[in-house]
Amino acid sequence: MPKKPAAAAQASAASAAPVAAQKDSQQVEEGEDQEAQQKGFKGQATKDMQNVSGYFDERVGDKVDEGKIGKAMTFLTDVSKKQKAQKSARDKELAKVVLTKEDVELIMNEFQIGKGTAERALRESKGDVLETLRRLIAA
Amino acid sequence: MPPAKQGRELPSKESAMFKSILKFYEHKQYKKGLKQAEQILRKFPEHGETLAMKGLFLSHLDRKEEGYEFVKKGLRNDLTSHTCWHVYGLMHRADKNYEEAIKCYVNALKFDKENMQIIRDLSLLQIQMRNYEGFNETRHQLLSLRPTNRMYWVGLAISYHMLQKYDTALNVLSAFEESLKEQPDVADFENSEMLMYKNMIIEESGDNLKALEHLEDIRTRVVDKRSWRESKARVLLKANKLTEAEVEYRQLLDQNPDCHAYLEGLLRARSLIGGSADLDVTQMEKLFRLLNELGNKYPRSHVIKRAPLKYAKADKFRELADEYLRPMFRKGVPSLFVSIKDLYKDDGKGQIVEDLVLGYRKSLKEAQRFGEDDALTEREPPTAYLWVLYFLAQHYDHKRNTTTALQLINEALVHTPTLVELLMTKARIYKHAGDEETAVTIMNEAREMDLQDRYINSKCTKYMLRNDRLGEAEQTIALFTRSESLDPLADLVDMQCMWFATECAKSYVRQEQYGRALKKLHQIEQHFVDIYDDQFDFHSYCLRKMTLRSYVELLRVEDKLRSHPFYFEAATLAVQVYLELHDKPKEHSGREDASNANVSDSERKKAERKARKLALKTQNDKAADAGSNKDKADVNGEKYLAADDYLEEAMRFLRPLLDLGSERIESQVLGCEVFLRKKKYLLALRALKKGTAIAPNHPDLHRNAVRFYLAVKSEPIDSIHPHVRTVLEEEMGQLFNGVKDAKEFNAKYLKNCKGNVESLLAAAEMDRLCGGDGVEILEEIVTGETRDLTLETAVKVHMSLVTTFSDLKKADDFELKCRERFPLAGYFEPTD
Repeated sequence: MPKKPAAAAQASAASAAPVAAQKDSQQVEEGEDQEAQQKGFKGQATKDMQNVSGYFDERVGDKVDEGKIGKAMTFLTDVSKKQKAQKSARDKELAKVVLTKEDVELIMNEFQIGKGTAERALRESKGDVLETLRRLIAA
Repeated sequence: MPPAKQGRELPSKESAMFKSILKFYEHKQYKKGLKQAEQILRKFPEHGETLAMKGLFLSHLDRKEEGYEFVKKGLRNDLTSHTCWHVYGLMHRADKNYEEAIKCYVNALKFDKENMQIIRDLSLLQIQMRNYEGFNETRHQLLSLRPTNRMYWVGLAISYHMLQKYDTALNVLSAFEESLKEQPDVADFENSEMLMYKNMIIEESGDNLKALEHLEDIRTRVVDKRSWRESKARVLLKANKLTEAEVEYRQLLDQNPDCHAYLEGLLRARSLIGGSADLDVTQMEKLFRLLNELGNKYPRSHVIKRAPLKYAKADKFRELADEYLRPMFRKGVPSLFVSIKDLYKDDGKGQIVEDLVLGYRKSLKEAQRFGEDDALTEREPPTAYLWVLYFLAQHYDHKRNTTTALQLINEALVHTPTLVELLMTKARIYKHAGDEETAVTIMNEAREMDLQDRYINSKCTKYMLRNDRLGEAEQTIALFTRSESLDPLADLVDMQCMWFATECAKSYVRQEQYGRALKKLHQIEQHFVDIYDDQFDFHSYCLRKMTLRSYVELLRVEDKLRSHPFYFEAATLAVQVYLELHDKPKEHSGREDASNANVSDSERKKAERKARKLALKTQNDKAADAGSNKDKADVNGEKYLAADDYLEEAMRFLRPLLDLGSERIESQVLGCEVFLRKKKYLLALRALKKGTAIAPNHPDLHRNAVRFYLAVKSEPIDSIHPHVRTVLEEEMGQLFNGVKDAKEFNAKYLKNCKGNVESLLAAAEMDRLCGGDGVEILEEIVTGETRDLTLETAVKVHMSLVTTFSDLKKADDFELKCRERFPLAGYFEPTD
């Protein structure tokens, strides 16, 4: 009889570990849920997966200078505000383009894309359908 | 009667209990949590948050449907509770219904704007969905709530990195570093990783000098010394500081002389590879001197030993190859041919190797030496002769010179009948010659020589599948699946074993059992879905553990997951199957019934057995949910055959091909085929254009181009939108170079065929489609030289002669010729 390679099964079990671990814990009838002892490789895999997917306690903050942090935060808020302003300016520019429903539907239908993508493509070509079609073909 | 509406506030005892419920959930103690929740509900049966939590516990204890009921009930009872919305979001998340989960989280945040847990969960969903803008916003929020924790600074930096706003990302990291009161410990891995991550961002921003400067800055604080040096070497090379790069690469090579990347870096630093022009004589001289020097310094490095063969030409190659091959044969390295085969792309080199090894064979046979002039050296071991024969057999097989290859391998087998490799090669030769049946018989012999060898067991399984012997294949592969699993085939699915599924699917396609084939192919698609989903847990884990560079790499791998060759193979096959189904749906459903009736007894019994086993399992396994079991029971894949629109189904596989495999001609060809049938002419045209850029003379692309031309021209004038027609005509003018009709286009293509049989066949078929008969072209194929013909092409030509042209006379003539050319091929065997 050929020997069944246990090691190989183990190695690949790593990816299936969360599933296996769950099933095992269900089989333990007494309510000890996760305290159920698992030995060897499987137990280790379960533990590792818990480390990956479990909740964790918030670690205490690093030793930082509150004043400096405050400054850094203000700076970041500015950055984020500026970005939003920029973005909305760009969006406004694009939003100015007037689109017709037929054009949008034509683009959606011909290129099998969603409404949002179709509208954006049209807006970027300033509403010119032919131009949009050409650009999408070259894309 | 309890009051119709209860407040959210619980008395202090229950309130404490509820808090512990939340703890139980965090620690995954679901049964305890459930008990506790039920206890509260005994007193307050309508308490919304507790109901929701109970539902959550139930769903984790595999009572999902019940769970959903409780969660929904809880939510109804307390619509303004962030906990209830959060729980509902968690349920959706567990079902991978991420869009819905995001909506729930957003609702939850309406009622508790600063709940860290919820904001954090939301950010995980956003990165999983690659909503970088939203992710960035959420990360800003998180940081403003916990500005002293570095994890949140890094999280924000990642969000800017993903938006390719490198400067801001760097500013975020610097702002945090500067606010630290004291410099962290030298040996702090997390800090070191953060610094290296920062360097990664600088490097990707393209500012090489800044990256170098930064590397020097952080040098003492980085613990991952090797990757620090790798970065330095790489960036120096990019910054064109070659002398310094050379120093670094030499040091790296000293640490690992068997690393291809290091050697390549060194050669680049010396401007010896990677340039646009070929090397001149002096540069070549330099290259070999350098490699020689390295070879002497690191005599055990195979990478360095093998490198010169790639660059040397003609006589120099002969000299170096001779030096390289002899010790390999002396030692008996079974993988020698495989490791050298890529040199054969250069025609001359294959011939030189052949001459050399034939020379060895002669002198080994006569004098047990590699060369006649080596009289002074010791005699070579007798195995050297064996390995030379083995090598030559593979060499001739590679050239598809079957007769010689078989002679050689048989001689080797006489020499040593028990060497598994020899039998495997013999089987492979038969396979290449088109005799799959003999191939599997021999491969099985090889398998029986070493029953403990998983590799050969798998090989043998594959050969069985190639012969459509599925039952045998399943039994064979089952010898190596996990012993404890009831159903070995299900075990293969669990292990995400894809080659087996692909080969099964191919076999089903050959047998025209398309439902079964699609089932296997969808299974592979599911593996890729799972692999993508598996990344979810790492969004929080990697941030916590600060494994930032690997995390970013992971995100990038997942983005391109479906560019994997396994996916490519499965997806192209799936699209082909759907096209086949679309083209003849009626005819096919009849066939499926017939093929079911023809299924052999053993096959049917096995299916019944499997169904019984499954039924048993369902009884035993209360946990199994109804949906997935129904799926498993559908052995014939009826579900897939019952689809309304095969072309739409094909799109699921086609999209990743076009997005991630757009540089492969097969993707564009299939894309064009699907879009043509859907009458999406612009998309078809786009595929044609891209295909033309990849391989302008590809026969399948040409077939598509002609069909496209005819289809567009035959559309009634008002069935194509005027805008679309305008653009189509513009583009077609370019693509078809102003030909007056499809026939002329085909004639032009024919001129470019240059005797290539596949192209000629395409031209002949298209000539017929344009109203011609293709006879002249066919005549050229059938009477032409068969020396360069491959078996695959020959089969294609023959099939086309029979089915497309119904020219049995030519088919018979061609078959006779092919029987001579491919004496072992099963396809051309006389049928009587």
